[in-house]
Amino acid sequence: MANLAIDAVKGMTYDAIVIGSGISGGWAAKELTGHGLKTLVLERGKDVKHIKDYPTTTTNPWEFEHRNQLTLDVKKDNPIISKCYAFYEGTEHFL
Amino acid sequence: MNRRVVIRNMALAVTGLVLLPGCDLSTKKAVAHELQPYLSPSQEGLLAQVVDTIIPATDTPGAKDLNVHLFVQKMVTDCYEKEAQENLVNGLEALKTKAKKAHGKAFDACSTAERIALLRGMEQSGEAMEQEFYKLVKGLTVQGYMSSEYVMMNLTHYEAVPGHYYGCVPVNSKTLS
Repeated sequence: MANLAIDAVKGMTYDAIVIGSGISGGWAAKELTGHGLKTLVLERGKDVKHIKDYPTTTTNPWEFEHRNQLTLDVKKDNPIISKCYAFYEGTEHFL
Repeated sequence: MNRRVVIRNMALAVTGLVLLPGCDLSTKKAVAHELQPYLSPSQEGLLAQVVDTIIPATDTPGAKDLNVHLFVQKMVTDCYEKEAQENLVNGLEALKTKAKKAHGKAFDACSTAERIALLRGMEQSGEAMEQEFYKLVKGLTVQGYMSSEYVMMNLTHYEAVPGHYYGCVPVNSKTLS
């Protein structure tokens, strides 16, 4: 049988789409799937492993080269996320 | 192994080696100024004198002792637009000229009062460039000084996790009555 793309729309249609798997998004997705809804979770960036991927947790403020300010290069390369309050020198490694 | 398979695998491996460097997704870039400082040694020395005039050494270290001038330069290089970078250079050059004109000597040969007067002249200057220069340098000097390890550890007593709760402390009988 040939590969016909007749189920593509169905395959890409979801009951719920959760954007961001933070504390709210993660729980929302869990509840949605738990109730049998076909759920898509969208998350940006790499897979963050607990403890291992928090290299800046105990970094002192003076140890940040730019005292937690974003460099112009980072801002230019990431114009949208740079507007977020939670994106700074100590968190830019989560990109 | 089949010779045909071996050849195909070798071809794939070579193609992979050629293509892989293009797949480098890391966004780390070399910081330009580490390779090429954009302030000349004399400008950097002058900047050190300026930050040290703004926050001089008293019973606490001055801004120069805490390398605040390097912080100012780093911030302007990495975090500020080109206009600010040019402004820093032009402002330092203007300061050099002003010191020569007003006192007939270099800024670092001037007395503290003369230096303060020169910087105040920049701050209250009618020229926007000079005002901007002083605002930029003063702002970054204060920021760099206040967020330095010395100040945060010894003067403002930084605690990563503030508000420790001491659950068990001896009670002085005097404070009870």
